[in-house]
Formats: sequence, structure tokens, C-alpha cells
Amino acid sequence: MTSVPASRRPSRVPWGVIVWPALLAFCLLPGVLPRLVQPLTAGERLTFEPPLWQLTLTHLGLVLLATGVVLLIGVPLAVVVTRPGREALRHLTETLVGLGQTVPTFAVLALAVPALGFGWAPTLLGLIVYGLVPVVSNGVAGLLSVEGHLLDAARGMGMSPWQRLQRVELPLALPVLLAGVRTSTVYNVGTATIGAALGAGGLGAPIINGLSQQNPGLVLVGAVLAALLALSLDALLGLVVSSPLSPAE
Amino acid sequence: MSVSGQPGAGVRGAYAPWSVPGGTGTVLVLATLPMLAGTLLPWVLLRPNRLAPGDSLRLPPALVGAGLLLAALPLLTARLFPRLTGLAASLAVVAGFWALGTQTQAAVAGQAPFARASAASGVWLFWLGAGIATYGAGLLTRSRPERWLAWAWGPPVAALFLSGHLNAWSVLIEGRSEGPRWVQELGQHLRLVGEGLGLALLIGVPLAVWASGRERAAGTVLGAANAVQTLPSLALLGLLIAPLSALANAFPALRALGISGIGVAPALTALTLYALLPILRNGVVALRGVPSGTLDAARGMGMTPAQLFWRVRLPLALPVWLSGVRQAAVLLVGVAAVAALIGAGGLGTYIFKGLQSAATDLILLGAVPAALLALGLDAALRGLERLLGRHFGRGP
Repeated sequence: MTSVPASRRPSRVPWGVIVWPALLAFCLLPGVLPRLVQPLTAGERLTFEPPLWQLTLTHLGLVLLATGVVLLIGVPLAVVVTRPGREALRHLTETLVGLGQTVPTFAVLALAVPALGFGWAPTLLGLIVYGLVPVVSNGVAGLLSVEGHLLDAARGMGMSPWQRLQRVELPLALPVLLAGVRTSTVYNVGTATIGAALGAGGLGAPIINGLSQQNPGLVLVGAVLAALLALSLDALLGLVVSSPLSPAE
Repeated sequence: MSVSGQPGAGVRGAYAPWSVPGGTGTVLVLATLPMLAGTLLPWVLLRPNRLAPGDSLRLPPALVGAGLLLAALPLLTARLFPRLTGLAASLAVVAGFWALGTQTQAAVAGQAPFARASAASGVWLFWLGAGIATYGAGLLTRSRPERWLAWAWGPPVAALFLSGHLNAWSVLIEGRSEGPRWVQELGQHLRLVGEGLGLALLIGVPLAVWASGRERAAGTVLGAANAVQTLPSLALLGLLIAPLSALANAFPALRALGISGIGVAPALTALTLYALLPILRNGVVALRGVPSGTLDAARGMGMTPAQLFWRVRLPLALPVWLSGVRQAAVLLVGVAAVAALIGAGGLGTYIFKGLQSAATDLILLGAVPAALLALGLDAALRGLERLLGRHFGRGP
């Protein structure tokens, strides 16, 4: 028996962690979703080639790969531009991040096609560009919010710049940074559906096919799975990050 | 006014005899590298028709020399005559457009009328570098009258477009052949964004005012706003088709009003829902963020509830609320582009057409104006925010 009071943390987080992935897994069982949307398809049973779990895995793979690259680029970038004496680089980064936030996602994805051709590559590039926005802006904000007297104290203890970064700045900036990673990952689940228009596959494929064939059932299958995937990832990342999705400005 | 020993600049290699953000030199180096690479890379892609694969053409040696010089010019100017850096950067931008014009003209001269000359990787890299150079020049001459020189490229580039110098560029050829239809799609795009935003304001503003006074309602609104944002816009568009087509089938009168599963109605519904979220969220957050001490003081002065709202709560909440409206407007430009998939029209039509037929120029014809539209709208609404902020005495 544990002595920790049960009501210390809001119970919403653990519920989401169980409910959304379970619903996602249930929907991926063979035959479940096609039967559920049968009323919308005039009695026709939908079949999926490739199967739905494979589309979901492709989707998840795209999003996780993009998040990995975003972390590899975004965190060092945030660290580099927040060092003293690099204000101009920070302004440039913030302006570029602002551009990434303003320019429509679909335009970014479409503009990557002439450079990279169809398929995975332009979608991945778009996901990386779009995913960098919250990670870099939160990383910069987190590192800048570390108070000067803490850094002075660390310097007074004889810490080298690298030790200060590793032991003081990054740990203090971590919650804000992780919130950015969560936002980035969840939004990219939605962005990746648009990648199907560029031939990347994933859960956008049934949506786009359904829209062009005017088949609402097909659309519903893709939309429900994409939404469940986004909610599952949001809940799972919420275990690591305590702040809510997309902190209001 | 000596450069050395000035503590304010504080950075090694301070360029100008006034205070400059540290690292501006690095920004200008970052601008030089893509321009150098762009000069050496293929500049024009010549294809026998708009879909066929083509040949890459490089710049002639004389222009390569000029390009290398222009690439290094902003960095050199920043060292020698920091005030004129904006001019050097603007020169690079104009030169990029000018060289694209001459090279595309030279490429299609003597070719069949279907031949298309498009901008290759070199042009895009050169533009990227020149853009960063103007940004760096802006930082270098910030808070000085010379900062306007960083915008000096505007009129010459406009003149190059208007004089027909760039008419051999494949994107403009596509644009001319689409002509009035393109203008129509642009208008449709603007109409979708405007109507979606208008409807969202009509619903969202009273709802936010109502919810901001109620604890439970505010929590519900914020929760719902966050939950719907996890739903992909494409999925939301798709999901609205089924109920709206069912509605139109059940009530033929509605169909006469133009409501059906495909087209403008579901797109407008989705756009309104999407715009509603930032408007509601920021409205509730801003109205609830007004300090209770201020409200007490206003009540103590004998203000009626109406006066309290119009004179205290609304002006104090306006900056945060307006930034929500701006987020909504920018978001809608993007969602409206996707809405072309369900037959709502707009600039997305060209993007989808281009993607289906692998025609790069059509993609550019849709995506570049959509991106510029979002940026322009963002800048315009930021200006409006500042104007209103100043009007209410809260200007930055």
C-alpha cells in the first residue's frame, strides 16, 4: 500500500495515457473501423491496402523521425544563439522562426516538392521546418529566462561555460523546452496528414482519397486515427511535461 | 567616435561607431555563403515544355565574377562604410532579379514557344543570402536613418517586374496564361479568409465576454479550444462533409442557399471553427487577466458595469485579444489553401493542380502568393495592433 495521497496530482493525465492509446489500438484491430463507418459508405465494406496499422506506423515514423531531427538541430541552435554577444544571431533566428509560424504549412510542404521530388523527403523537410518553430522559440525563451544571479553564482563556484550550460542553464530551461517538443510533435501529427498530398502515405492517404472519391467513411477513418494518434502522443508526452499543450501567448 | 575601446558595443570586431547587436558580423557572413554558392550553382532550368525534364544552365563567366563580388560586398561594406551596408545588400537583391531576367530571356530565345525557363537552385540560394544580408544591414543600422537603405531594393524590383524584364520566367508565363482566373482565385482566397474571420468574430467576441465572467465556462472554452487544435485541419474539413451533405439532403431549402457537402459551405464552417479558437482563447485569457484591483478602483469611482467594460476591461484586454485575432487570420490563410481540396477554390487550387501534374510553376503560383498573403496580413494586423495600442495609451 502506498502512502502517497491519491489526489495530489490531477487524475486527467493518467487517464489520457490509458484511454487514447487503447482506443487507437482498438480502432486498428482488423475490421473494427470499416464496420463502424459502414453506414456512411452506403453498405460497402472498406478494405485498405496497405492495412491501417501500416499507415499508422508510417505516420508515426514520419512524426518521430522529424521530432528527432528537430531536437538535433533545434536544441544546439537555441544554445548557440543565446550565448552572450550573439544578439544579432538570436534576432535572425527569432525572425526566421516567426516566418515559419506565419507561412502556411501547406505552402512550405508544396515548396519543398520542386527541390526534393515527391514522397517522404519533402514531407519530412516540411515537418522539420514546422516542428523547429516551437522547439527553438521555447528553447530560446527557456534559456533566456535563467536568471543572471544564478549564472553569477555558478561562475563564482568556478564552473566553466560548458559546466554552466550543462548543470545550470539546460536543467532550468528544460520544462519550457520540453513543452515546445510536445507542441511540435502533436502539431506535426496534423501536418503529416497533408503530406499524403505529396505522396508520403500515412493517415492522410485515406482522407485525401475519401475527399476525391466523395466517400465520407474513408475520410472518417483517416481523421479518427490521426486525431487518436495526436491525442495519444499528447497524453504520453504529458507524462514527461507537466504544462498544458500550447501555452497561451 | 572611435570604434576601439567603446564598451557599449562590447563585442570583438565591432563594425560601426554606434551600438550594434553582437554577432551582426556573423549574420553577414551567413548571408555571404549562400550567395557565393548560389553564384556557382546552376541558375536556370530550361525545359522543352512545362512538364519535361530539362537542362541546367549556369551563369556566364562575367556574371559569375560580378556575382562573387556582389556576394562579398555587404560584408566588405559593413567593415569599411557601415552606413551603406543596406545599399550593398539591396544591390545584391536587385542583381539577383535582374540576372534571373536576362538569363531566362537568353535561355528561351530561339526555342519553341512551349519552352520554359525556371529559376534553379542557384537563384533561390542567392535570394536567401541577399535576404539575410538586408536583415543584417537592418540590424547594423538599427535606430539610425540609414536603416531605410535596407529596403531600397523594393522600387527597382517592382520596376523589373512591371517593365516585363522577368516575363520569360516560367512562373510569370504560367501566371499570364492563367491571368484573370488567378486574380479570381486570389479574390476567392481573400473572401474565404475574410468571411471565416468575420463569422468567427461575430460568434467569438460575445462568447468570450460571456465566458470570461464564469469560472466553469472559461475552463470549458479553454479546454475545448486546446482539444480541437490537436485535430488536423484536413481531418476537420473532411469530417464536416458528412453532416453538411446529410443536412442538405434532408432540407432541400438549405441546398438552395448553397449548402452542400462539397464546396464553400464546409470550408467556411471549418475556417470559422478554426478561427474561433484563438479568438476565444485569447479573449477569455485577456479579459480574465485584468487585475481585480483595477476593477475595484473603477467600481469605487462609481462606474456602471457598462462603463467598467468599455472603459477599463476592454481597453486593457485589447492587446492580447487582438494578437489572437491576428493568429486566427494567419492560420486561416493556410487552412483556406487546404480547403481547395473540397472544391472551395482559392490559391490552394493551383498548389493541388501543380502537385497532381508535377508542374513546379503551378505550385509556385499558388504557394508563393499564399505565403506572401500570410506575411502581409500578419504585418498589417501588427500595425493595427500598435495603432490601437497607441490610441488606448498602451503603445510600446
